[in-house]
Amino acid sequence: MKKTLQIHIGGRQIHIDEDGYNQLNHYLESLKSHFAAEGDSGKEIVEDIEQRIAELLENKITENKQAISLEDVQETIGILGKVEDFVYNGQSSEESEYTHYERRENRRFFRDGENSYLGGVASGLGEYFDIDPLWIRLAFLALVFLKGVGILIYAILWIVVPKARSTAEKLQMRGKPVNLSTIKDSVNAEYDKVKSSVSGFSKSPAADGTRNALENLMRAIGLVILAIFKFIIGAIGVLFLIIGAVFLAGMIMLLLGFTNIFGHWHVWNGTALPDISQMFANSGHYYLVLVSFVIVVLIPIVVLIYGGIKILFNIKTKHRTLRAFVLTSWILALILFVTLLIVNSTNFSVEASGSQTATIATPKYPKLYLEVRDNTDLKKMTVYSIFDHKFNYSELDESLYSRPELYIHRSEDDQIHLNVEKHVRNVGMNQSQQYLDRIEYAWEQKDSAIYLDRFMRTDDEDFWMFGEVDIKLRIPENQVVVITQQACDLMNYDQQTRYCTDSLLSGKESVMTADGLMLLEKQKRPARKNK
Amino acid sequence: MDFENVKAQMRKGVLEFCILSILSKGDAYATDLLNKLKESELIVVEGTLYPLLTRQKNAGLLSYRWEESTQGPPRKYYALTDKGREVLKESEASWRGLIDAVDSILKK
Repeated sequence: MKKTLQIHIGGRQIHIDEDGYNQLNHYLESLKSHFAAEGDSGKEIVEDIEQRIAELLENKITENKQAISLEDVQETIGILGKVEDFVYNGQSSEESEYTHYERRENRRFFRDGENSYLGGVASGLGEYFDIDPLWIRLAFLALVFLKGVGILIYAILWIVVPKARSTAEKLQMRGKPVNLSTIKDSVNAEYDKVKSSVSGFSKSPAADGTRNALENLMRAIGLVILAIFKFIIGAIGVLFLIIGAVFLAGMIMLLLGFTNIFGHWHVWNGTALPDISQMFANSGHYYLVLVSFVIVVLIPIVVLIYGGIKILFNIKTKHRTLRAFVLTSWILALILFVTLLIVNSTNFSVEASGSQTATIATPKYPKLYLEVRDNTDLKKMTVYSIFDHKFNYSELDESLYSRPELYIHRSEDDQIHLNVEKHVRNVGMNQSQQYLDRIEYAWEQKDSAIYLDRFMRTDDEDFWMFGEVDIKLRIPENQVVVITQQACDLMNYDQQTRYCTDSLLSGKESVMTADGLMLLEKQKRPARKNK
Repeated sequence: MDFENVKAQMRKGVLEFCILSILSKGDAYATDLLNKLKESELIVVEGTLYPLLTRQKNAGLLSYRWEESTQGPPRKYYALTDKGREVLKESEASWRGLIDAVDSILKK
């Protein structure tokens, strides 16, 4: 027993077996989705073909055979041909865009040997996701810098993924682009199908309706998956755009920093990024470094933004020469930048120091007071750290302040000597003196008191010379000194531990002995015992 | 170069030319055209014809009218427009030229 349906096609009423109907329906769906892209003309074409089908089917009806069988349908489809056989359907150059969307399901990931730089992994991935392989190459490159992950992934894919050799494999690799128009096509076809099945529901037996509904459901699920896939691709595009935009903004901020708008300092999460350009300010390569740095950073950013836009709007362009040019200039800029870094790093290793010594006559002052004075407003200062190096930045005069280190030793003679030693690093060979002069440090003697500045000062752009000041105070034996707590804070680590722990000496009278400073009272006591 | 594509383009051109020349001998509906084209083995699958007809109609080379039929529903009868006749004339000239050119090369 076979179920027979009555259908209305091409202006004719035709009885058809259920299996034949399903086949015919499937065929018409494929036609509809194939021609959907052509709009009204497409509908007209399908209608004309339907009419021809009806004519052919009607010829099959005889006195003895009242219903169309599956075989009849297959024969008719054979006469009209499958969509894939409609080789010359209008705009031939775009015809691959319209071909039936089922082809995409056959898409496979192969390595593309034709457009490869290395193993064709990137271009194969590009074909698979319909992305210009350049972005994938850049992504791999970026991953290479991430502890070489990129190399590993690439190597694995190279080994695991087969290369597309036969024409069939190459076609499978390319598949069909997932773009808005194909999604629209399949959605349109789906809509028409649902519509026709709904209108056919009343006519056809219920069982057929549910079957159609199930089929529709499966198709709908397929569509949802397709939409999700499209969404992910879109999200990647947006992500590219956002990352690119953020980097671009950062880049612009950095460049503006060169022109002092942000006061040289780019503070982020409590960490300050000093103006890198100043590192090269004296190397004579300042502009070369600047330009190469900008190119090295800017090209990936622009490429990222461009890639994001391309993915989002599904633009397909293949400017091979432009791509090669961009890639080449990026590599050249990178080489230049790295070379300059290496060349200049020899400069950075240069250390220089200079010192000034002042002598203070002792006899006048039996008791010397060592005090500290503030040479800037502490409230206007912010503490930053970079590379474990702590420093203070003052908004007041856009300067850097750091603490000098105080060393107190026994004098060889009976004079008090105060020696200020300045150290700089990372400066050019012949410019050390000039840089030493840029460190400002002052102290003052007033009667029996020596006032040390709490901070040494440098301009903020001189950060990279890591200026330091050592104060070497030499005190003759038996000289009595009062070191204030604040002066204690300036002492170098060793002496601080020795003299200032638990305010041992701070604020009290101490005396210089052959073994260093000692509390005056302690020193006197054994002296008394000796007497 | 994609040779399959070249072949397809050639057949498409010839087919369009033939549709025009069949219609120049009198109006016809799709099945008439199909029968003639199949007789001369110019067409393999019938489905190919319909997109071409619609395209030529959209290009203003053809027009159609509905005509009642003794058997079945009304039929779409295609006719050449003036523009269609013009294009046919040009096509005929270039076709002959092409035949001669190709012949002269093949004979050498």
